[in-house]
Amino acid sequence: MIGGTDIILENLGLDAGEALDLVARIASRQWGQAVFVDAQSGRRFDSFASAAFGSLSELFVFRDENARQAWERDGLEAGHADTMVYAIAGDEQLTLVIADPDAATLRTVIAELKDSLAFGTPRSTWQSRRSAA
Amino acid sequence: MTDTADWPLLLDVFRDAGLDRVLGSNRDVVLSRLGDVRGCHARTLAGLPREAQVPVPTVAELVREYQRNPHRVAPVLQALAYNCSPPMLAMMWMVQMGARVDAVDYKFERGQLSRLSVKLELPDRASYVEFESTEHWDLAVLRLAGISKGDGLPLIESFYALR
Repeated sequence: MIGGTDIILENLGLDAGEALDLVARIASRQWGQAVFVDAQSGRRFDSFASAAFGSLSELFVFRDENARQAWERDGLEAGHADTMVYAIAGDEQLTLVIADPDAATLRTVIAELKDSLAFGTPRSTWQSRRSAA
Repeated sequence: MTDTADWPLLLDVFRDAGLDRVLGSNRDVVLSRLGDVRGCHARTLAGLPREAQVPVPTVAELVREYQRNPHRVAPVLQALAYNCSPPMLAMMWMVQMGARVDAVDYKFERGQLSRLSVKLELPDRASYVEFESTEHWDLAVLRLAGISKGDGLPLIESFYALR
């Protein structure tokens, strides 16, 4: 069981793989030994450089390998609730499932992602593709 | 495989990225520029630890990475189309593959000077390399930069293709 709070961020500028790449970058600044896992296939990537985000729509980022094993073994438990980000890239939004959104590290990750998606990536329109269609 | 043998695959990438009209028509110039990027990459990372290394941007590696992560390669190719210099293209590639922008300095004097310097932290998070260019077209690199803030402090996360 994953469990947690859904945090939905608007994403009008990035494709799914691009958004998940950004999640990985931002989380790995907080967690120097971060582990990246394709949340749908369970495939664990060896490193950021070798990760294939282009075809993903869901990503787990764990603080480190110990955290990954703890989540796999025990699911959500208070002792490691602040060691994982589950990101789902959907249509014009990025959903973060965070077990402990009040943890300082995770607050930083959420805030940086929100700001980056809103202000930090090149875009030529602030209109939703849905409303433009 | 040589770069020339991989050219048809690279052409497919250019087409997919919408760059075939500008990059696809001059194979020798493009391959020469990419060879210069590779040379700069090798010189910059020579002697650094294995953990600091970034994959060498051969044509085959660019194609392979595009297939896995098109968003990482497309900005580098757009910078190539903008006539950016080999050092800045090598710098962008390293960032896309996990290096971090540590410092940027730009100085412009109308009609006199356009100088861009970028310092990177490599993936081992202990090694640093620097790139400098006085090629004015390299200012286009900043057009592609992803701007961010972490804990309210300034960051440049990576590079993004214009759409």
